[in-house]
Amino acid sequence: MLLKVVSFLLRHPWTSIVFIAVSLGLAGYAARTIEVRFQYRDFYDYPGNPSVPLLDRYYAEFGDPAGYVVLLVEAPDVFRPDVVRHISDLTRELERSPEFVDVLSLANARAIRAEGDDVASGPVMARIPRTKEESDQLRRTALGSALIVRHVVSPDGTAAAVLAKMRAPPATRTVERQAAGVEAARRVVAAHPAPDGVRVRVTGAPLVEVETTRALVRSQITLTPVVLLVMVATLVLTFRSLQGVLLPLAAVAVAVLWTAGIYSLFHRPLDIIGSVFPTILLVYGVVDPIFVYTRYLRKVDLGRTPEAAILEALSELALPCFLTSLTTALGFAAFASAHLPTIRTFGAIVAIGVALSFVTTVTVLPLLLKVVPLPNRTRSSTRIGAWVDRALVGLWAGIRSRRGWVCGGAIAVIGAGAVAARGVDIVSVYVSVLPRGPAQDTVHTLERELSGVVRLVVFLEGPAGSMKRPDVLQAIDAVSKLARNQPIVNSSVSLADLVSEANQAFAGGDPAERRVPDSSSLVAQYLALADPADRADLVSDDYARSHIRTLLTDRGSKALLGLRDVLQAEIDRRFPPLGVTARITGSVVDFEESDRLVAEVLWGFVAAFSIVVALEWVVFRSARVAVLSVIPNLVPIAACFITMRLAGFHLRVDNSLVLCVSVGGLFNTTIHIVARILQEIRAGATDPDGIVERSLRAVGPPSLYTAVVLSLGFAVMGLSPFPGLQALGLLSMVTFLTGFVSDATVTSTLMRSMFDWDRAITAARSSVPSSLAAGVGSAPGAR
Amino acid sequence: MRWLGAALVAILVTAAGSPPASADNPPSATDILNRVLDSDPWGLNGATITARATLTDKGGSKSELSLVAKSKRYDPPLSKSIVRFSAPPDLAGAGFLQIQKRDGDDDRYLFLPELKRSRRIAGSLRSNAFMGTDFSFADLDRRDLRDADARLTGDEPVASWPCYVVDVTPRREDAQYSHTVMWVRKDNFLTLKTKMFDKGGVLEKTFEALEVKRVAGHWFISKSRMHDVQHAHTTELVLEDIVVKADIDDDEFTMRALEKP
Repeated sequence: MLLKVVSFLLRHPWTSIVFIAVSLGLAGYAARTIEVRFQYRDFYDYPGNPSVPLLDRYYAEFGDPAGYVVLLVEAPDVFRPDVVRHISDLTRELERSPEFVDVLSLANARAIRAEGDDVASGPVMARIPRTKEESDQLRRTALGSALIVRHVVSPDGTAAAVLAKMRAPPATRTVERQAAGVEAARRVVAAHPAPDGVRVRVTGAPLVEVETTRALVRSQITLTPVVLLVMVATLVLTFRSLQGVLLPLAAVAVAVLWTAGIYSLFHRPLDIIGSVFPTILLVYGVVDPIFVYTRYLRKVDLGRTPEAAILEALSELALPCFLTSLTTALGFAAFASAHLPTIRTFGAIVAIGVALSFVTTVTVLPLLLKVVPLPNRTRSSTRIGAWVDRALVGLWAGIRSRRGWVCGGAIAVIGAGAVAARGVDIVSVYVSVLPRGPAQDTVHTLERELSGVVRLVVFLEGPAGSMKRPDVLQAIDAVSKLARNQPIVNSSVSLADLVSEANQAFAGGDPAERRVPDSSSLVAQYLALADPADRADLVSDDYARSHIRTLLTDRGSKALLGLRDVLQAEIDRRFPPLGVTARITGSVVDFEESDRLVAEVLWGFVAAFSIVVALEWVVFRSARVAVLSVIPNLVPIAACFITMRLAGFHLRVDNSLVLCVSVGGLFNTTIHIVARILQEIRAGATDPDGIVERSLRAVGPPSLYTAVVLSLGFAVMGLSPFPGLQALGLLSMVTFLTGFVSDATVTSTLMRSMFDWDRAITAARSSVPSSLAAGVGSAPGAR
Repeated sequence: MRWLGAALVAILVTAAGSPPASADNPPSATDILNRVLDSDPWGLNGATITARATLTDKGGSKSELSLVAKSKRYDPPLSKSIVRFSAPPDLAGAGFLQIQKRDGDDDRYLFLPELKRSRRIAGSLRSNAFMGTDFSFADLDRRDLRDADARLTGDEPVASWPCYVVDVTPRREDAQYSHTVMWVRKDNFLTLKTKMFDKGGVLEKTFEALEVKRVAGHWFISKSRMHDVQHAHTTELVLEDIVVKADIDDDEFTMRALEKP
């Protein structure tokens, strides 16, 4: 059937090429709409996520913290009059910008406090301080308020923040809108030169998302050409001809463009995970064309016409290529059942891309072989090929008599990998997902100088008026204080702070009176005095909803979830008797989903691994072969975990993709070696040592080239600005190279030692047909 | 005969109490602003007012604030006022005394019955909301109008009342708004509608006079609505009882009076 289709295409090459060109045009046109975007929300916002409605309700009530552009002012003393004036100027200028709706800084932050016998309310700074005494007064006021310190000024007075809330609501806050906000802030900074010794930096969540999106775009622009360069170099070394480089690349390029067109139909942005798919397709997609082109050249060398060479090469390779593509596609398709759209889309699109790569290998490549003249020098054998051949012969000679050692070594590596894997946790860290540079620096600075960007929120709901009840406020205060005492917490504020500070102010500043009073009337009177804008940050208008806002240093999901458990225990103890519901939300949703995503990748890997083993069982009609193939393919996984342990990596959203990536590439060489051994037996060979050696020599070189292409292709990610993708590059390289070595040694050793040779040879002699052997072809040494 | 006709029309218009300037010769924006400042829609010149404010939040929840306010003009245009709250129950008995100052911050005192004593409230409260309503202290003291540039941008009726449309840009540094646009009734210079724009030039609040009343020869805005567009919050203020009395005793505006609910 396939050969009939190929024959038809070869009879109508130009019509077919025009058809392909039109499809490429359509795909390219559709691909224009793909948006490259990094937004943390994309990782957890999907229909059916039970945490999202609560988070959305919380954001609707108290605002989305991701909407603030922050000007970070660093100075030896931010309370110095000239620095305060500068902060005031920046604040006023930002207030005039249509990009922002509210601007908060030392210049307009409000607090209630005692001033002698008076109670001072309103802005902490009535005017720019003129004297040291006035500066010191401002310092005392600002640092004395839990609602201001670590919010707009650092505890040591060396940093202050100007928080500019973006006017665009979260639903319409695109990366372009965020970039406009960041640029507006930068213009303000540029227009107001800072006083001597003062540094002003634009930071905040919009900057993080803008910079990360830009880094993603830069990655695509720089990494894709480098991957292509690696492939070109490998193809030049393999084929030494222009055609040998261009034709496989053209086939894979068509597949990538078709896939990009289909990706646009998913209406998903290209995020940090999706951004890996072009690299994966380029690298995987070139493998089958290398095999087909090699076989084609050999057929031509044997004197076949180009058309006959194409058909013969495909008749021999279509099934193994289909099988390896199928196992790769199924490996990725296993992720299509994941909960998270980002990983589901990734699994689906790579599976589709791999399938399309197979399609272009058997359609586009033959067409190009038909219309492009043959190279002058068709032989693909090179000095490298001869060297690889000698190395494989030497390898087999070395291990054939030490098969026990090889098996023992494999088991030892797997054991070491298992031990290493126990020390590799799933730990999502917000900061380290971000690219190195401004995005990471921003978060580190905000954590160091102010409160940071990771927040854990206790969202409280009760009947109208419940949040101003003294017993509820006292419970809120207790939980908030417990949070404050945790080592990773930088700040924790709540409505109880506002009431406590008012109580202290009306008690003449007595520190002992910084508490929630027992009188409900007094609490209500304090709250009536507070400005609604300040109150709205802490409680709803009807006093039915409130929150405890805890900001912390990003030490990863393990630490965050540990803090959640501590607070949850306190919440369970205090709030149920009060008739108030307290639930934890905030960054915990992102982190939980990121951890879950990694867990899904792990389970997806296990599922894909199992599917491939089951397929081997079906295709080779041998449970023993299927089981034997498990060991050599566990070795590279073990090596991957050992590398992770040695490098101090934990499993995260980005580097866990190594499991997705490797599942498609691991079994290919195993399948080819087993298929080749069966083919040898079908051809009448009976000497197991000779069969294994010949199979190794036939499959080894293209498998080595494949391993090199895969390793180097993914190693290019080492150039990415994203630390997680750098780790992914390293881990992929280790996995693929170890995979090749493992197949060359462990697969051949296990097949020699544990394969049921007598039964297979007897079956071959009695001419029991083998579907695979028939598909692979019957000429020994053909590959 | 033509001059006779014109004279008759002039006599009729004057007798009907028409606006002080003809349509052909409207007053300047500064004149209009001065007349607005001369008007006393909240009774600060001398009155005892019983009022009720209904606050509606973005979720539609309502809460009410009831108060009695006494005011007296003591050094034109400065006045002093004392406000006593009667609802909600939590606030009942709380009092607020404000004495406007020509320079610097106004004097403000708060009496919380639970503490049984009043406290002076220091600090610049101008941009703060008045007791949780959508009216800020600045909206009520109207200082931003006194020190401002005004521009007459046209005529536009509000609820069939002919109005001047005046764009006012405050000059004060601590002004709450970048500018306001006011619809000023031509006949009595009451502001029937105001749009307030934030520092970014985006609409922040709208004020609408829903009902005006003439009591003892003075015009009052007896029912009004302030809508905070950006926070979806509304305050409807109803002056339920207005007693005009210019000579309220000064003793009514002291801390002692404040502490005796």
